[in-house]
Amino acid sequence: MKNNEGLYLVIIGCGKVGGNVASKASSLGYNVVVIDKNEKAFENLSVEFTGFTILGDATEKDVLIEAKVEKADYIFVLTDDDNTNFLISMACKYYFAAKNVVARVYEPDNIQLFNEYNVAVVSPTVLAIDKLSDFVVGDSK
Amino acid sequence: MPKKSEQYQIIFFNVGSILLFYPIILLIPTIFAFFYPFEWMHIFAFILPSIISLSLGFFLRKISKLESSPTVTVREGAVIVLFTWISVVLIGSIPFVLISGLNFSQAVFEATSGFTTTGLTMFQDVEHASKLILVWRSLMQFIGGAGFALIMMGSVIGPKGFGLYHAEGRVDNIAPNIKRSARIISLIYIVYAVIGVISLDIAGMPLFDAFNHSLTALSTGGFSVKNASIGHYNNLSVEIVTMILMFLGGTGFGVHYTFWRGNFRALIKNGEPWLMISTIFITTLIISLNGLGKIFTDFSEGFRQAVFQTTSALTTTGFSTVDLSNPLWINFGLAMFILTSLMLAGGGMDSTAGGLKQYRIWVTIRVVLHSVKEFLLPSRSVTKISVWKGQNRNFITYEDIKEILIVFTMYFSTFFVGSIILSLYGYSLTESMFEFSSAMNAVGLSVGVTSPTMPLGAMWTLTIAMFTGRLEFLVIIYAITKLVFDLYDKIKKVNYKI
Repeated sequence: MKNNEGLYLVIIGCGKVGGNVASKASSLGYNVVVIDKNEKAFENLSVEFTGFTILGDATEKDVLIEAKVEKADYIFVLTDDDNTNFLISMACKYYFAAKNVVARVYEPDNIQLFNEYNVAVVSPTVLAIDKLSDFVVGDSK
Repeated sequence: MPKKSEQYQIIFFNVGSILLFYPIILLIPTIFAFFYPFEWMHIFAFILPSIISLSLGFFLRKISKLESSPTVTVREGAVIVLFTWISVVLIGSIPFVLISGLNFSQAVFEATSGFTTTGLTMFQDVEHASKLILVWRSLMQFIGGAGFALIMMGSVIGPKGFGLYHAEGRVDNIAPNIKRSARIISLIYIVYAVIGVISLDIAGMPLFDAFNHSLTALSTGGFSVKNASIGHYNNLSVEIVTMILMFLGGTGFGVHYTFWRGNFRALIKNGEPWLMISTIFITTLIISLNGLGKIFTDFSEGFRQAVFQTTSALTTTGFSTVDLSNPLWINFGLAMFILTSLMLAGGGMDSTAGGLKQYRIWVTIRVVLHSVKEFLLPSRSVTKISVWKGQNRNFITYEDIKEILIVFTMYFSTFFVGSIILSLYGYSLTESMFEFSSAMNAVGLSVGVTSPTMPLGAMWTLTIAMFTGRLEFLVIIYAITKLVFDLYDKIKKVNYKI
């Protein structure tokens, strides 16, 4: 049943990025669950968001169970700490056998580590470096 | 926030969409013309409003200049809901005028009573009314019980209509995606209706009656195809099946979903069903014991009649097995008072029932208990109140308590004002309070105040009570305030230009 309507996303960390991705996915009709340990963070969600919000610390197994992580098609781990992201990604992979885990990694050196354990990575740092390098390199070419 | 003109484009677009879709419902009764061929000429009474609805819908869509709807927030949702309900009621009243010869006020009363799932009726003799009209009445209640927002979200606008859903007085979101929630709710609703038809038929009702009663019991509407309502059959198994259907209708969809998912651990923690069952049981005992010798000859008869009326009142359905307009009942003060209060209490949150809703009462009880507990605890202890609703555990915030306070205040003040208005027309206090409570909470039990010959003022009072009660007052106040303010702004701007 892999049509888009049944797609189930779990988004951990509801900051500017998490909140916007969740709102967009929800308005497209996906099933979305957002986890954050700070209640204020849910203000980043727009009015289009119709999914569930779970208030809790995603490093705790109970919270991940509540979010039904084992059924998720994608899990986006977007807290602002690499160590936390690593722990959560590992928990999702090893306790719940989650297939697609995408984590945000700030420190470029850590990317290797995440990849080692089959966690897909989005690094704002690397993206910014690449983008900015384009200006520099673009000049010298 | 979108600009004013954009907001009104969204409003026109969505009202237009609903009106474009409305003829599908309007034309369903015409299918029954095949079974009752001598009524074929009546189908024109349904085709005419369909054409009006279609052209109005098309016109509104045209002037909105939108291709697809942007996100609807609660702000536009309130106005959309107000306009939709008004136009749907007005168009839906046309068949009553054309076929049954009701006048304008009576037809609007009947249509409002239908869509708000109230069940007070202008028909003195439904047994001889047109079959198509009877189907139309049942269908109105079935659709009104589900709400237009639900249908719209499940089919046309999808997740962008969440504001609309809120504005119609529903907050339940049972799946992490509103479109799926809407479909699950519709599925549960339709499956129950089909089961209801079959079991009522087995219990001994003719098929046509079973169809109508199943729809109106489940939507907690209460339109009947018999003059004596369910009492006509005088059949215990029919009464039991009807009570179960009313109870299912009066239970929130979140609770149903929890049940079908097999999440019994969460189910037993839900306060609403417990509160409903215990309220019905206790009030039934009080009425049947107190009425022993006065109106009931023996306890089992009293229990049977009392349990049906209390269930009907609490779930805001409005079926009856006894004639409440009988002076014997009107002078039975205790039963009248209990039924009036039960009607005010109402069924479950996010069900098809009206009233204050059990959830709010349950939260109030929890808050009171909590404040007592807090008094005994050490002064610095931090505690939270949690209430289970469907599969979720909600923590009660001050926002929630404020909302409950506002709703309670609105209900009771409207109740007082409305009862006074009815008393002004010369009805006794018991009658006025009972009938107004019945209309405002979308119940439909009647002590005989409602009749085609009642004073016009009283009739419109009840019509407005039904309309505002179904949408829980606030939405209508918000919508009208917004319209007035926007109009005022517009006039001011025009003046500046001159």
